[in-house]
Amino acid sequence: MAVVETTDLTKIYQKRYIALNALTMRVEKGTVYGLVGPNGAGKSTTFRLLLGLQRPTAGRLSVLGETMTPERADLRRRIGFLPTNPTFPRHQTPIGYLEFVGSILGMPRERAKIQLARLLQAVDLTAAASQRLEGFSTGMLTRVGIAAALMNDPELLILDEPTSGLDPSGRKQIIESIRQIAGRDRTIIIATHILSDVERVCTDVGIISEGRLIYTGPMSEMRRLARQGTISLELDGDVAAFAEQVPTLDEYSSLSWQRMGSEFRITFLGTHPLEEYVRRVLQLIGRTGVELLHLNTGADEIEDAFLHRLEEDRSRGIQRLAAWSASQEGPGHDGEALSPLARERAPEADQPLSVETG
Amino acid sequence: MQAYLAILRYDVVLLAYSWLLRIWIAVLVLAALFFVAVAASQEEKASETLAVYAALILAPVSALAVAVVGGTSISGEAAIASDSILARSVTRTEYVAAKVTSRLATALVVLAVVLAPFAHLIVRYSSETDTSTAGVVSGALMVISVLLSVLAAAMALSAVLHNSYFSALIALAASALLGGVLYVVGLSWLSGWGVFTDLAATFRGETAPWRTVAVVGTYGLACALGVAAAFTVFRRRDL
Repeated sequence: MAVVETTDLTKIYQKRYIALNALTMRVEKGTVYGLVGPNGAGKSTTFRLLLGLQRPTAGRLSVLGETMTPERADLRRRIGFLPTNPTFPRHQTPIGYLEFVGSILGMPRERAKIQLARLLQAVDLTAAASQRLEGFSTGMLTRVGIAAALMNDPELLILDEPTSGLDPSGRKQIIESIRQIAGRDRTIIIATHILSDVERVCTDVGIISEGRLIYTGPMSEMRRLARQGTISLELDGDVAAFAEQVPTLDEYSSLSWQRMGSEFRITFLGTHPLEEYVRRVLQLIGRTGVELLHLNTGADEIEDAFLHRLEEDRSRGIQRLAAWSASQEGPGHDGEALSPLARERAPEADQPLSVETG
Repeated sequence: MQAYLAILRYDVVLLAYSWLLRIWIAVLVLAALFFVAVAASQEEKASETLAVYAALILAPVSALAVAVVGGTSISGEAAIASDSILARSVTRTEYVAAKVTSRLATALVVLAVVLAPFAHLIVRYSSETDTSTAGVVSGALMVISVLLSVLAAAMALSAVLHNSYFSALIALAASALLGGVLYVVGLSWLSGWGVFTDLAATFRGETAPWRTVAVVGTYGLACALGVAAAFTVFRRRDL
């Protein structure tokens, strides 16, 4: 069952800025879905639409099987939300604030008090429960925000950059809290641009860029992709000659590489299988006469896969336009103006890369 | 309903903690004490002293205060509200209703709490008591209705504009402009300026009742329109 489903969701602000560009996304029940993307990619806008704080310009949006609008308070009662860098009334204490959240949610006072006591303990704030929020650190405020988001024991929990502005220990603490919450039959969507956070807690991941979902699939597949195009080498001999020839490894120069002394890390952004790239590297080693000391294809860095997808999406811009034209023409219409390439690629080019979650 | 009450309570507490409210009340009370002293020691008529207090202190200070209270009602904390309140099980209608109630009630309570006892004290200690109870009540109603219309205009603007203080400023400018228009069309007695300059006569009970009804009715209607605009705009707005 899909907890969140969007079809061609589009948001254009004041006819000037396209925040979401036909976003099609599906989040299954019980998953921890990481929405990853650079700043300004459309993550927060997606959340604001999911919560009914904004109305979509076009497209369909369903949350927990129903259409969300600003007046659907009943639907929001089933959702928990943690905003980026949450702000609170400075004069209140965590207890006072959670009581307020409980009353907004229509919880009976006694039940709200039991719930807030449990939550403050869960986020390790029992000792600070009677202190004013104005003296709290960013990490403590985030934990208050998490507790507030969980007050109604939500079916869907939305966390917008939960580790933003935190030091490493604060981040670790928040990630641990999320892991504990995720244990139950609850769906969680986390927006972040910190990929290591996603890797640690998410079961599924979606990459959003310029308002479009350019990849969606299980985290395990993302890890596999991370390894796909990266080759690490350690060489001996005329390493400088090898370095000079590295750009020739790909005919379109769609690769990035780093050299650290005699060690190289080459990431291919093309779509050939890894074996092909390994073959080319070995050929270059043979041509330049260097000695291979070590070769590794398991870079295991999620950032590589992320950058790979972003790069690939940028290169598909024209292809997407052609695909959109093809879909507008449709069967039975005069499609003579379309190039054969556009028609051939149309079906897959307009969709995000996706992997069956099974 | 529970969400409405929770936000109402939250907003009243927020206002009670604000420096604006404390300074507003302090200025009105200190000035009123000064005028009571003047009324007791000088050969002044009660109606004149009361009218000068209302026109020189109460009107400008309160107009500024209510414009800020109204201007900060919705936009001032839109980010906090949308993230911590409106992202939960609250409708826009409940939110604006709670905000409007708390801001109007707070302004009304402050004005009533300051006006009632100090009007009594000024009348009590004046060397010449020339006021009538009906006149004082009528004058107070006119003053309050004018000020509440400024508050409502600021709230309506607050639902549209992001900058709270800009909303307050425009509300004040719009009130002044309305006064100018009324003056030009020959209804200066209906303008805010006209109401305050005629207050001494009103406190003496010399103003015709229909004028009181007209002033209170006009500014009451302006207030209702401002509130309705705040509801309509905020329900349609993206946060």
